[in-house]
Amino acid sequence: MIKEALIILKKELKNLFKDKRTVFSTFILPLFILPVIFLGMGSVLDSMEKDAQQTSYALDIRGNYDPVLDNLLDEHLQWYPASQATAKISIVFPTTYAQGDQSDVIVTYDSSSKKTQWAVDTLERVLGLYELLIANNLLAEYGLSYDDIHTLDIVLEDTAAVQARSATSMLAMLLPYFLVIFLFAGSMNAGLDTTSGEKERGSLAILLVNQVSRTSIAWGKIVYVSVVALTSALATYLGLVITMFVPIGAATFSLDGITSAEVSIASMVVIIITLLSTALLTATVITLVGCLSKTVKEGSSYVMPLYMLVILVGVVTMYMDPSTNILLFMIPIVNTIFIMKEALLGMVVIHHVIIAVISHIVIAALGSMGVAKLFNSERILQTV
Amino acid sequence: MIVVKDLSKEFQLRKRVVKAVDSVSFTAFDGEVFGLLGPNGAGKTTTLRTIATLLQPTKGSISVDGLDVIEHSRAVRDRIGFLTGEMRLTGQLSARELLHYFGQLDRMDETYIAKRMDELAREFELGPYMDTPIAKLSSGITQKVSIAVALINEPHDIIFDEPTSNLDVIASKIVSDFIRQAKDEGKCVLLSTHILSDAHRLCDRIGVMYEGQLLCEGPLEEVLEIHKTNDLETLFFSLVQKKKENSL
Repeated sequence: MIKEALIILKKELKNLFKDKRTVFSTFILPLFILPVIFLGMGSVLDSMEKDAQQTSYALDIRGNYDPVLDNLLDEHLQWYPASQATAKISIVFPTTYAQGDQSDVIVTYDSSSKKTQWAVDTLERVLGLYELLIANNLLAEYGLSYDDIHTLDIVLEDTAAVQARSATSMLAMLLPYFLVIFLFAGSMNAGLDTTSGEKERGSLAILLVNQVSRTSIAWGKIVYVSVVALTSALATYLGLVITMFVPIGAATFSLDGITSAEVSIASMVVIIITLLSTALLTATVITLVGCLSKTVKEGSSYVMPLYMLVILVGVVTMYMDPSTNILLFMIPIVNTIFIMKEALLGMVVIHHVIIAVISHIVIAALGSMGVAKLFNSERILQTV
Repeated sequence: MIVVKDLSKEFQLRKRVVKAVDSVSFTAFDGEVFGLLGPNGAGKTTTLRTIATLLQPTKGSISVDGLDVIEHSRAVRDRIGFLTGEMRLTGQLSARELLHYFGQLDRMDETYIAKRMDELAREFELGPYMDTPIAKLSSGITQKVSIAVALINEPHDIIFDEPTSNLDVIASKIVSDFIRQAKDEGKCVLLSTHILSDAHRLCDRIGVMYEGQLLCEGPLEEVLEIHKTNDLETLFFSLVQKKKENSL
């Protein structure tokens, strides 16, 4: 049986790897899409900030003509005075304002412009520094300085493992989501093409009028779809590693100083084991759906809601911390995401991994039995 | 030789049972082409799929070269070549790779596969196209490859479901030539078609099916003579009319 399943697997893989378009969309695209997205995002954000810094802003300052404020503004922002009608930003002090008064400073601006937003953020910092100078001047009248009343220095000491620090947490937030999405998307095309696609092309009937056992056909197809799903997910992972090694990509990820080397070998092994069992699970589900569908179109209409569910699970769990709730590790996809989060944060709990992998294998085994049963029954043949 | 005795096939749908084939009996002999004729939905495809072990009979029996299709399904599959007109081979594999693949699935050894590939390439003039991806072949050549795939195990009984529907003139001629050649080689050819002109050109014996029942069966010329007509179209409508009158 295994030998016959391998013949089918080999043929399907050969067919797949000879098709340049499929190779591109299944393996090359996941490999480069994330680096392209993050590097693109990084360079766009970088150039936007540079552009914002180099722009000269028209400011309308009213109610305060203190040259100290002008100097502070000069240090942090390129600007020129403008009338209320032509100014991009207005800074209005009360008409009766005198240095040292407690009062509101009203900053009027248009937040729809990113550059103006950046300038306002800078202005807030400048006004904060200006307030500090005024406070220092007031305190000086009493022979004091701001340092004399500054009694507490807050020192943050992060006890988390290197992997669990905020930068890697960002990775733990995004990576499981992308991996699960690409794993599912990768198996969708292959799974439907090898089942309902073969029905549509009339070639499944020819395959079934053969000496090979139908259970072998079912297994050959499931393993093929699993291999495609896993390879697609690993290409995505590799793509993220590439992104992390490029400075601008790492900056976009907030991963300064953290590389994939921070993710231990043990964590990587856990991630790959989880991906492997998840690939088997998704491949089985998609193959089962494909077997129940008469056409690829019909199959897609059944698979799309499942895909949406996977995306929903990915989004909902994105901001969640790893959980200790055992039940969560029994739910497919949810458990994959939590295990990967744990692995990336250096908090692997072995029994969580075992429960998740067993849950995947049990569901995949039930699904495989369903696929084999379909291949051995007339149910699949009625739609051939 | 294919012997179908009192074959019935029912499908259980959600709320009802559909009888696709109702007590059909006929025999397709070696060295002849037997054609099952009838409109879409007459039960021809179901009959052929049941003979090809793709479906199981609800009632009755089928034997292929003396082997019962239920008891010896694998041995029957070894004796038959099954092809459907709906089949559209595609993909990046070449004819050689596809033939090798189906040969392996038929549990043929490598030497036998190589020998059969050479024979089929010669027979269907596929030599120059054996290593070209199927997706790049013309429809006529692709059809030849489909036939070669069905024949890789050197079957004695050839079952063809709607062999010429969906085919252009060139591909249709390739199929027709192959059917005549198989008959001349002493093989048993069983085909289904709703194209009556095809049946007239190719078949030695016919069976007319309508709503799951076999309305008549016998040598083509004999059947036409009994029903006092020259063409299959008139024969078909007269048989259908009679069936409707009897059921009233």
